[in-house]
Amino acid sequence: MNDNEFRQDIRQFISENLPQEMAQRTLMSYHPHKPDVLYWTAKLHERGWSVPNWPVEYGGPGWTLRQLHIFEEECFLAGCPAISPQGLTLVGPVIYTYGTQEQKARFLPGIQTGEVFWAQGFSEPNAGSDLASLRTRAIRDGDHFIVNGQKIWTSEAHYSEWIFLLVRTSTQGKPQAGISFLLADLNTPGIDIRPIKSIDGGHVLNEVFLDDVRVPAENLIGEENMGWTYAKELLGAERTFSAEVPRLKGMLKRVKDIASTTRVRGLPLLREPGFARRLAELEIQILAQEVTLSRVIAEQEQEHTIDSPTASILKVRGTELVQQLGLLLVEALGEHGLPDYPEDQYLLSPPVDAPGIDMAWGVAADTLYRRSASIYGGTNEIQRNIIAAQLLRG
Amino acid sequence: MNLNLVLDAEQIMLRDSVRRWASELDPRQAEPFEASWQHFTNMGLLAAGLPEHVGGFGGSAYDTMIIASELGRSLVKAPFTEVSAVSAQLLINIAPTTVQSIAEGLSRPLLAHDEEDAGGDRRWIQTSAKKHNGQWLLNGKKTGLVGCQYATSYLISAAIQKDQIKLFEVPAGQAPVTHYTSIDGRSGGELQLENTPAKLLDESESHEAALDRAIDHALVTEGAETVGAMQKALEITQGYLRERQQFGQHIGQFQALQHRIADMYIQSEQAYSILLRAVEGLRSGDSTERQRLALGSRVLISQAALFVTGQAIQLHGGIGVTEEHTIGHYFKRALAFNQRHGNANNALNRYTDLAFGTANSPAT
Repeated sequence: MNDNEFRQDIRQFISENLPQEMAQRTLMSYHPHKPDVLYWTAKLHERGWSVPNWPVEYGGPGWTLRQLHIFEEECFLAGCPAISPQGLTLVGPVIYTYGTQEQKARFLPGIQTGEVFWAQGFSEPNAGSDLASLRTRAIRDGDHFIVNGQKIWTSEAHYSEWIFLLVRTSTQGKPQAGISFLLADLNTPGIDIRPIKSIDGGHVLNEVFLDDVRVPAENLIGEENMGWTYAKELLGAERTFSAEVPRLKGMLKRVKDIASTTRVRGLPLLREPGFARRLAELEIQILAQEVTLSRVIAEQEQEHTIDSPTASILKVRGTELVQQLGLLLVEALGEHGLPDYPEDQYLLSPPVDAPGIDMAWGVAADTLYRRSASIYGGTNEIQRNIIAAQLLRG
Repeated sequence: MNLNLVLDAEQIMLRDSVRRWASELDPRQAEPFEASWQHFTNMGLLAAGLPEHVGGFGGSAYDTMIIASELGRSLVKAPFTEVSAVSAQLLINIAPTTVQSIAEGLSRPLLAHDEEDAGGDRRWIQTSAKKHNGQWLLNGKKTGLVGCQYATSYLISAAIQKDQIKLFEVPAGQAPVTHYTSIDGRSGGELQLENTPAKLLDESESHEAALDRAIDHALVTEGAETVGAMQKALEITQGYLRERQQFGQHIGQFQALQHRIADMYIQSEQAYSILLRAVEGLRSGDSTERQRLALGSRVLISQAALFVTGQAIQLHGGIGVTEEHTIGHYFKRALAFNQRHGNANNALNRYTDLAFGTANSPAT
């Protein structure tokens, strides 16, 4: 099947299965709405597409990396609710790579069906960019670990069933050498989840407090004190998805739609040379970003080891462009960019007397929340450290 | 989109062979012209990107890109791009029988199209052509003729009436040229046409489409040279950060400089990416798409090149602003690149008009 046929297949599936009001809701780009994610992941599961990046033996569809990116793009542009990434792209691959047979049998099916949500317990209040300095302690007590500490920026923890944790199991040697990778049921006594409201007014982030939490030792992934290696690998393998190409294309389309509707002195904003020029510059940058992504994919598919830091570019540029486009989106709304359209009022049943235009719903919220994009997943400053280290070694 | 994303074995051979030759040259100086052109001919570089039916080797625009990039790395001054990528591509459509002599290194026609007030508007042609006693006579001024010292003839765009453009040829010896050296040390010049006799290249066809295509080849292939130049400037700077010591350590140990070179790398790679897209655009049957991508590449490559080569000087410190050191010469090339064909600012205006229907340039 060539790429175009593949794309058509995806489109047809989406048009036959995605309820229109769900697509409209998703395209407003507020935070994920769990019932929508559950619904859509189940649909994908029926079709065998719910774990598209996984190997066939674990339920993946056997797509190439290029097909996977086509799938992501089509889903994003059509307004499909995104599969929750913590299970799909973060802990899932760690479990099937380093987990025992029992762990695979126990944890992978819930991710495949989309019914079990996962949270990522990596960052701590004093371990952000310097993640290896994390201090959440896990002490062996018979066939349990007793976990004490605090995690932060834990997306979706408030509606997740499980959390994967990086915990300190040793204080010997380098900080990286004493970290283990542990899975914990969020219903375990001693776990307290508190919301963090982000600047968009939404709630996706949380703090997770762990107070004498007893985690069965059978929930340890791989070897004790090897957790850092597993975590690094999982973050490295997913770099092409931080290129944000589907999101950038979606935002570009959105800004064109808005700027064709809003007017300046009677003419569509899109015809205003100053605005159009700035949009054009971003469009050119996105064209380049898309090619850089394709280059990295082609290199990976040809199994040329990526001895160049090209892949690290993707995250830096992807997030910078998302933020620049966000600003242009709000600006394109003109006077309608001023009202706050809070998620809790606009996501499910927007007020009938809403101010402005309905195209504006979610625009500012997303733009505000995406300030986090250059911070999460390794800040852009850390990314530049990585790039420079590769450029200057030897 | 079906880009040539990773070079294949043959392309790597081509790249390496051109690099071997060009790396012997001193980027600060003009290389000996005759020997260079002979080498281009013997190596088949002039024929590489031309179709077989006009005497070329049937290679693709990617081959031309690879050659131009390598010449750019060493700041080669000879007009490889101007002759074999631009003029030859123009003549393929309007005078195909003349292309073989370019491929064989025997002739070097040069496109004379830019004018001082055009700002990259490719339809802004004040040069006129009128027929007098059966002889075409040209009047006007053409600018930006890189490589004109070595031209054997000029291919001149002129209006025979309002909104009707034709291409004419004038032998080099009969063209009144004011020669200069460009800011990046290349041969440059202006044509002052005053009732200059000229030959109409082909009386039947509309030349505008052929001209647009040639201009897009110019934008993109010069872009390839410039990407090669900025990649080399980046490499030189990487080496310098590893060697130069201040405060008792290599200056590459300082995070301020690490982040700077990371940004240089990011821009240089994105420039290469947009170049690939624009080269693919040259192969596209859709002329608007081809033009849009060529213009887009011009914008991004120019911005990136000025940033990368400018910061390359900055990271070298004082030695970077000397004539003696090579690094400053890369900035000169980037600056000259930005000036050509109406500069990157106007390229962005044209791009915007094509993409969003604005009217920064009423004539397009």
